[in-house]
Amino acid sequence: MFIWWMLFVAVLPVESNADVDFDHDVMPVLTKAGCNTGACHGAAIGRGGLKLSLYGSDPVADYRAIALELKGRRVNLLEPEQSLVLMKPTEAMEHGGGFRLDPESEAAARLRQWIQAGAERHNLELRPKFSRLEVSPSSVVIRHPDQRLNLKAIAHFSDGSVRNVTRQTVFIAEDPVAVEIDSKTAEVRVLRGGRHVVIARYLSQVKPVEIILPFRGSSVKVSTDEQKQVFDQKHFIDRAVNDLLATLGIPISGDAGDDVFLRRVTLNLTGRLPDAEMRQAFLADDESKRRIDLVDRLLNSDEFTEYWTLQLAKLLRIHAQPGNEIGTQRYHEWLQRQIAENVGYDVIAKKILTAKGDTHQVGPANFYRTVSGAREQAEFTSELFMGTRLRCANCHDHPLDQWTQDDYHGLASVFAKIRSGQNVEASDNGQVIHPKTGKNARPRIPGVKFVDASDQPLTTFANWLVADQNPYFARAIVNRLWKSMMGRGLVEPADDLRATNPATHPKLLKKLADDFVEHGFDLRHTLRLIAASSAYARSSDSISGNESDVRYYSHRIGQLMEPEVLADAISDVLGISEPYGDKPLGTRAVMLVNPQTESATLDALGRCARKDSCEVPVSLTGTGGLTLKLHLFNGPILNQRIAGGNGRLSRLIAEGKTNEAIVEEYYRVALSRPVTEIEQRFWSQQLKETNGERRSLLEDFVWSLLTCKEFVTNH
Amino acid sequence: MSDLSCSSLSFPDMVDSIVSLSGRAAHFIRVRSSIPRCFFLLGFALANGVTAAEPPITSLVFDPAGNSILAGSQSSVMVHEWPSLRIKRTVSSSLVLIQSLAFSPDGQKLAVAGGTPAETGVVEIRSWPTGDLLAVHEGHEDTVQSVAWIDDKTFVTGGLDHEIGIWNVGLQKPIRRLRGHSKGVTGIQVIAGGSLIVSGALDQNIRVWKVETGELIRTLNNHTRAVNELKTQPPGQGKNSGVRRLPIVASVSNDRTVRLWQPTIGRLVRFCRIDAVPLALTWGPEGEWLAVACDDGNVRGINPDTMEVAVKVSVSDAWLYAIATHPTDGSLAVGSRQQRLQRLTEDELVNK
Repeated sequence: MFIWWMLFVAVLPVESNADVDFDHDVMPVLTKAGCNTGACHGAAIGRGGLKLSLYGSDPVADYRAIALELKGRRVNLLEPEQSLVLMKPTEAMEHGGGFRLDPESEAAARLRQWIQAGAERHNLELRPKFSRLEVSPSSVVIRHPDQRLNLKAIAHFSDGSVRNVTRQTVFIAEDPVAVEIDSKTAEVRVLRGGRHVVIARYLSQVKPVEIILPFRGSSVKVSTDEQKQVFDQKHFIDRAVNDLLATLGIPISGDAGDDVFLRRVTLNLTGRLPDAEMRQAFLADDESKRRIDLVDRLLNSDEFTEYWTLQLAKLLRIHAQPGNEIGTQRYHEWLQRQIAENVGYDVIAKKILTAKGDTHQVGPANFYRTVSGAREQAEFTSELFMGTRLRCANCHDHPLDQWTQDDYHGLASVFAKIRSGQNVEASDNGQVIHPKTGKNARPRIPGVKFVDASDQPLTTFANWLVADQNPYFARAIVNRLWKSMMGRGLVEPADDLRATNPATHPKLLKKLADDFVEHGFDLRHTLRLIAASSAYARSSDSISGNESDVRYYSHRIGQLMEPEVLADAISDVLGISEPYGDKPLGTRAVMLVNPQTESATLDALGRCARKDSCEVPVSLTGTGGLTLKLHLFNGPILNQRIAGGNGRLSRLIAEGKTNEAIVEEYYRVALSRPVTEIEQRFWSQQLKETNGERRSLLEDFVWSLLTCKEFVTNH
Repeated sequence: MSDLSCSSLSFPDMVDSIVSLSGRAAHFIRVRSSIPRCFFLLGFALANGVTAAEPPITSLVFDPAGNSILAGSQSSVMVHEWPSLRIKRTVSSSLVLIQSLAFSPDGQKLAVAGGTPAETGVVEIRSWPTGDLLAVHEGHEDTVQSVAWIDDKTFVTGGLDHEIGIWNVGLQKPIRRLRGHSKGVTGIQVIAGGSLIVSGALDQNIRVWKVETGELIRTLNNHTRAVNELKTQPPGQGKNSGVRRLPIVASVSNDRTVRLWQPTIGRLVRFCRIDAVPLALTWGPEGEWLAVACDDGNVRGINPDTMEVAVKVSVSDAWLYAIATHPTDGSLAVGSRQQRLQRLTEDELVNK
């Protein structure tokens, strides 16, 4: 009987162990079990003596670590079951990472088979290579929360063969509270309405899956105010925004009204509050075109140039290096000229990247004095001009993007040939060591190709970057322009564009970028385009059904004013100038060249020192943090200056204005709108019924106005 | 101090002298494990279509007479006739992994060191030539990677539990534990007439200890990656032997360097960088050359006076974990991950 059983077993059709390959079979097991995550053996220094590449980006190194190092102690070829690589994750022996692998699972069996076959790594030159991952569906709308969705992952190989790798693929929900995924079956259940992203990872590739569950399953209800909107309803921005809102079933708030629009667009384009004259002229204009005329006036103003010089100076991190104040001044002046002359952003970028010479004379050459070191220059440049975080690829291939260590060190190698003292010049000596090879890295256009040193790598890179077809350059800047105007980037964070961090409105981002390129990389054009959309003019007041929306532009997202803008606004409302270092009194904060200029007010408001990125996380664009509030409520920024002698309040009292007139003027100046009857009644009551001194009461009123959300935000 | 980087030197003769031994059937043998398989394992193997693979050779040592080469692997020590490499016998062991072998100075005892990964480090003391088990020493919490004798009754161990143990044969507990390495200890040497221990570790450091007190004398920290093995230069008998007053220890590291040290004074004598990771090393019988076994399957012969790589010999496609020098004729035994034991003559190595 036993012999018959043995014969039966011997002729069973089984997968040959020799077919089990480290790269294609073992690596997915390790990734699926979480062995190579940053919290485990994928950490920079490994864990428990075992160091694996993050998410399996380096199979060669991982094979060495698992099968070869320390005389192969982690695999037991005589008794595979006794191998550390099996016993640890199955917790057959103590494991700091806990239970990661069911010993009865297919994954454990695969690992066991690999060891039984000799724990080899196949020569991939002789075998089909993994070429791409396909996940289906890539985008789907689910109609009901009870609806289940089965994801499927297919691996494509170089010989045309495909393999269903669903069970070896790791699926991670961006928001695990909203999306539940069965790791064994890849079945997805969406628990909360909205647009969700699931990241699928197999071997070195990651793919996003977009899943939408409408909030209410209903279509968009366009408000009456919206219908009255004077702007073109066929605007492509509105089509994209409204289509997604319709899919999500989120209702749209109405138009903000002329006063709010005036304040909003003036702040966005010039960093200032509109004054009474502007308001008068605006309201006197033809209703059908008063908004677009206003936008055009602002775009052509000196104030626009000043404010958008500041915006780009923050992006470029222009700050005074010790002993290079002159250079910083030249850099700032040069930038201001580019904005004033409406030079294309592509030309600005190329001038910056290829600048050479004395930094005290050649403004853009100071770009190469902003950060020190070729690697830092590569990181800075990729974040600035490509909106991507190449820095992750310094130590390992980027776990969530295409960037490899070759890309990172290759781009660093491009910049290594720049010598950056007071004179910025090309040098033959600079090199960057590639940590993988220990040899000089080859100059490389990231994600594209290596460049020979004789082919002027820096010029080649600059030309590639600003080319019309470049997939990063235009998107990175239009996303930032959008964020500046709308309060939230289509991609957040704005310097983290990648396939696994998709835009909320991918087609809109592409269309904006294409349009930007078509119009000569014209910053003003894109800002005008956004300002002309209904989405931009939307009220910040939520309505029933869109209260929780902070991503899809169903209502305006309020932005806390930038420190420089808020400081200037406070000065304007109080009528008292703020001193900035040794600058003449009356200097506006937005015009300061050096972010280190002495100012306790700007420090308290949280200005960016521009030594690192000044990208503001979207979570802080609303009302600021507790520190800022405490400074405003209790600190000297407002309290000392409100009580100051020569400001607006003193003048109004001296002119014999009534309380009502004073309230009326402050509302117009601070909030850019008339005071309502209810508000006027409230303040009249407050100022009359309290028994305090009149001035003190009015100071309290001004304090109340300047600390309210309506003032400190662009809403 | 003279630091010479050999990577920049050219050796026109080297290319001509590269000898691939993979085809020389007379000089290598694929070692078959003698581990008995139970009937159940047979059934399991049939069901899966293959038998388990052969484990790597992890340590090599010549018997004192030079008639045999002992190869440590998983669970057993294979004794091969030298130079034919024919298997003479197998010494079974209770150790899951054997990582290091060493004969006592009198040649009467063999220390077999290893253990169970991540659980215990064990040293078996066996009589030689019978192979009978004399004592078992357990005390490390991970495998013992290296063992060396201080005298005929005392030996020292370095384990992946970061510790060094000094043991008396027969005593269950170590007479002294030396703590200081922050990662596993991979190499142990005893120098200066048995008064000093030199240890190399994964923490990139080489440390020098007093045997008598366990005091850490100094740390040599020039390596920039893990130290894989240490070997002491044998006392020379040639024309230059008189000037070798201080003991010299060679180290190999994942930083791809081979370094020579005078541990008694803490001096890095010289070093060279090679284009592969050196995993193990051995000296010529009189310390006149160094042979380094590397992860690219090559053995590199190095002149210790100049640190020039004089020859590179291709031995295998696999990592070379172990290498040992015959005590008299200078030929080499090399062991690889593919459990191939190979013989390399001194002529092939030093390119005479």
